[in-house]
Amino acid sequence: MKTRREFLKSTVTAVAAGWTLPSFIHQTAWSIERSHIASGLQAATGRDNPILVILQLGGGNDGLNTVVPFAHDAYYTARPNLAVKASSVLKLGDEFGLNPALSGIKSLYDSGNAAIINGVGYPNPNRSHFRSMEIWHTASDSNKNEHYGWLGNYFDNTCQGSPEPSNGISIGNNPPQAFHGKKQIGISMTSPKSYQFIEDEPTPDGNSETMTGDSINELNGSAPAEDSLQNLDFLRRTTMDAEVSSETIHTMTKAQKNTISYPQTKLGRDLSLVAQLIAGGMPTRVYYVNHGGFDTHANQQGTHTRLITEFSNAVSAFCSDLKKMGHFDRVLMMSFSEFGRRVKENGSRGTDHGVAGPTFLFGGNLKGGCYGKYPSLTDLTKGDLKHNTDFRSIYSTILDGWLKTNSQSILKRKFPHMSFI
Amino acid sequence: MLNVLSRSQWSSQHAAHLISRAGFGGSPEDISQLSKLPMDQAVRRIVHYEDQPDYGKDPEWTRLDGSNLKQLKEIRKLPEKERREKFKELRRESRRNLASLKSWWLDRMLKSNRPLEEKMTLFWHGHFVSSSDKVKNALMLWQQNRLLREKSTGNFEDLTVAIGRDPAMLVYLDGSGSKKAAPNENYARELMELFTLGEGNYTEEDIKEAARAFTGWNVRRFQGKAKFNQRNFDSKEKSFFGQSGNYKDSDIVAIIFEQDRAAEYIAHKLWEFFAYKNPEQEIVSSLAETLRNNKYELKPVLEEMFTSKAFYSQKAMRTQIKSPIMWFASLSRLLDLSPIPSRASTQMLAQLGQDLFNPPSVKGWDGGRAWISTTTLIMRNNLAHLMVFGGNPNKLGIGAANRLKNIPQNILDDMSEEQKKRLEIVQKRSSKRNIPSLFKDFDLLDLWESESEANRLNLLSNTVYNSSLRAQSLAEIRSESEEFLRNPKAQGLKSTLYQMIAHPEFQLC
Repeated sequence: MKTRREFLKSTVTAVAAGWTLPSFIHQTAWSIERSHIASGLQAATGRDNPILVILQLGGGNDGLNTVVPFAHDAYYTARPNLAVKASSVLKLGDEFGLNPALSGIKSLYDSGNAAIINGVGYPNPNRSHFRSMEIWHTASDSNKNEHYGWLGNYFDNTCQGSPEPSNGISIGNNPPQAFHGKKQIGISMTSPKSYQFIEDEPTPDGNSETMTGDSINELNGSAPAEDSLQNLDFLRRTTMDAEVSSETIHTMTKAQKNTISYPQTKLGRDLSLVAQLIAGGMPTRVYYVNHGGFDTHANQQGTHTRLITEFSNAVSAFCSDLKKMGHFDRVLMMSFSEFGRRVKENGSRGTDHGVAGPTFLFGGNLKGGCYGKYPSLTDLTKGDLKHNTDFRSIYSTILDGWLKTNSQSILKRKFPHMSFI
Repeated sequence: MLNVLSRSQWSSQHAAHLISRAGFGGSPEDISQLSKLPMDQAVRRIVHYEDQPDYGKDPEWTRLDGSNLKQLKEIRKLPEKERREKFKELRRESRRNLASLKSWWLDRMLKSNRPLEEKMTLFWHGHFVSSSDKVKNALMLWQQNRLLREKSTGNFEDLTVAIGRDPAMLVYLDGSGSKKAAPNENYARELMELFTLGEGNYTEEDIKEAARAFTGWNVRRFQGKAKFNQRNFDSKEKSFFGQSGNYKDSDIVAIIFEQDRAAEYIAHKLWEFFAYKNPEQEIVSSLAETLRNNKYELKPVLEEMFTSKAFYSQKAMRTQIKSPIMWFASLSRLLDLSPIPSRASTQMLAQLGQDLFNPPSVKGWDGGRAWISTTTLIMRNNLAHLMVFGGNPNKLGIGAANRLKNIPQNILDDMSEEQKKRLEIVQKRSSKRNIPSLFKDFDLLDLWESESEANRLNLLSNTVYNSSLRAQSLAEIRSESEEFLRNPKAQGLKSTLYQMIAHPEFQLC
């Protein structure tokens, strides 16, 4: 038996050259990195650009217990254990209102900073979390599979020349499928402090430090498409994006502090980070934040109340912070879930996968109010609500009206605009 | 049958590939040993591992002697305030057990003599998912892990029936408490969508009918047992895939396994896990046929994969993105990582996106490119840097102090005042603490010192990459390391080593 040392020694003189040649000669990441950093910093002058923040409520939020149809007996018949009492509902008219846990959102609504769109969905709904999430991320028809995300298409369309990796930032470990474009997939981060290569000088204290690990019910859509790009090239590109963006983020966020304190929840921390990045003047056009755990098949009440309370409190802190920092007018936030839930509760005091649900929009520069039509509780399809607004109408309104781009080239056809912008 | 790799082609690179996919990689010595066997014998040794001794013992706390049940009865008798305290204590204990369970499994993965057994257990953990976030019970998760290991290379249909009655799964997908009056559809849907057939290969009606056949189960959490109660079971006729009968759970599974799609679905997934994404249809069809011909026994299909020419093709070799576990395993072999508290290791994996016993969703881990983002790449590099050079992890937001700062409210609620005080002290202490360099391969250092500059790069490339580094990558590393290669001291070696493991190619196996 050879000793370890002898063994290692015997391998030194063996042929060391690669046994496969790179199948695809790629420009080396290292050589173009520096010029890229410079261009990233120059692009970062977009302090006036409109910003979109997407808040994903993963798992299928129970729309009926979020925007409650308190005037309808059918709701109370279908949900003997789970219905929200009419007397406690924060009313938005005679027919429906907000769950009492959403008091922060009610204030935003009252000040004209929230739009609520009822009955949002798409034709031939799919009740799989993963498939339905993919449909929302790629804006595809439910019978078609698309690789690229609607925001990825937007990045590809808008950015001429070299792609700017921090066009899209998602908070967490992975960029959502919505960000996947042909040229780029955006970057993802959990905190500015951990978002730097160790060779660089660490920033002094002061930035908030968020840790991942409790990725409850993360739904990112499909993994990046394994297209013609080889895995090694994909790794080189991502390394380069990381090098470039970590420099930018450090320059931009060095002295940024939130103006108010956020709830000590994962969502609170994530949104406080987004506010810092916005205030720091990042060139980022779209931020993506996750709030998961909505798949409430059993014992729904406690979990759902906690989740929407966290949602309401974090969103309202975020909006106040942006207002104080003077950025609220250029931010539009949209929250959505991949589907709503079945009208009738199940035997485990929970609800199974359903179809249509409400979508919320927040911002300093939108036309607040209620949009769409509350779906009928008696005219159902297989026990599910019927949608009356295609989510892609919301996307097209945002793309054309807010991001000032051409929605048709991104969504591949025309969807009627709504009037919330 | 897939075309078999010819015996004459079998080399140490092939052996390295086999051990890194069918297991967690191997040292240059392991690889050299395996490569000396003929290919079919090497594969047999990996797949038919029963004659290799089992590794390690079960965790202490998993030995159930009935005392916990007695304890529960006594706790129930206590006045409310004391009862609450006792329950807090039990929850803390369960969290401790979960942490120990994670380390216990990671240790097995790195050291077991039966690497395929652990690799397949990991495959099933990402397939028949149950997560601690919802199950909140270390005992049941351990039992599930044991079931997945026992049947890891056994029969897929048997495993599917068994997992439907597994306590952790019954809790995770709400089978527990599902009654005939209003069946819960969660398990029935995921059984078909994710476990056996794939989306689009069943109807919504099939889900509703199958859900009725899975009623009647209830989980006793303290005993970690599932009980079937005939009274809650819907025994009436169900119609499922065009057939009807008074089906129970195993009948539904049997009908699913009659569908051609069932074999294709798992064959596709196995190939993607072990070889590469988006396999050719011929490969999937061939593996599916083998599965059907062998009534869903797994060993024949595993042997077919590992001996096939396609498994060793250019498309397959050194093209897979390492999962955090694979990444950790390769670092662990390079630097002897056993002195890192194992808890820190599993938490590191969680940060990189692979929290054992807690996959992000019922779909498990997507794997491949989904492991890699700008943030996880930065973390991988920084963690590697810390291990090679030592330093203060907290400055980079990756140390214990940061983790302690973000303890979730529900865990804080379960702490006593004394524990909270202790936590504060630990927090302060660990925010300043530097960890030492973990590099201590002095054999390698001796060689480094005695070798010529030109050979030093080869020495490390052979140690880190088993001589399979692509020429371009090697050239890049050489140009980044010129100065280090001239330095015969440990600093030169460490710096070059870091260049090797910070290169994008280290993320591939």
